[in-house]
Amino acid sequence: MNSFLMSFVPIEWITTAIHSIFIFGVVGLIVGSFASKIPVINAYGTIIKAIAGILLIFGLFAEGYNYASKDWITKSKEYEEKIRIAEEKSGKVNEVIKHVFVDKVKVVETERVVIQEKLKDVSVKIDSQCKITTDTVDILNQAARGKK
Amino acid sequence: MRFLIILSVLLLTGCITPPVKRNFPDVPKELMEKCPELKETENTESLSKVLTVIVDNYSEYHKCKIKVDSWADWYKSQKEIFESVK
Repeated sequence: MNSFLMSFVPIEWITTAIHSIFIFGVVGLIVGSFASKIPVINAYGTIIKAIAGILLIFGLFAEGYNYASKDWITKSKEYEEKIRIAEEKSGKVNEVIKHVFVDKVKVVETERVVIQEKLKDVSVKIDSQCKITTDTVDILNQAARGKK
Repeated sequence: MRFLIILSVLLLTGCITPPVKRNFPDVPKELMEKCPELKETENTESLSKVLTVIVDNYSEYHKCKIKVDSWADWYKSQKEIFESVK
């Protein structure tokens, strides 16, 4: 409730209002107690005491609630900060992993090109010394396809 | 009285709803690409042509291995970061 209110009203205003209600409650109870003992105004004293009593109860509750809310908001902000740092770290880790991955793939690709070039150089020699059968190609393709 | 209780429950529910949002980290898009199928050899007698395809397939395997290893690294690192926030 407090955090909902705080999105519209500054927290200092709410704190001041709560303190005021609490102080009015205490002062009202004292004044009402005195006034109820004076014969001419004792009826007003009872009314003041009743109103002050309600203010005191509400003020006391609000003081406690406000204190708990402040504590909770502080913890919430600390948690938000931790999350912000974690997200920053997470982003950096992502960048590192991405770069390492791209670099390693480049190395593999370069190596592939080098091997293919070597193969081109010796292809005539290889093909002149060795011929393969259709069965060989079939077996190789079967292995490449895998079982699906 | 019943309405007052319902209202109080609603207010308290509003109080305990955590407003701190946490996003699941994104995976680098390079890791999201699937590994391609292995190439097949055309029907030939030439060993060099077959070897060319074999070399390409080995190369694809290595790239795919790097991808899987990167996924494992990504998961391990992100899990550590995630669990460090309490």
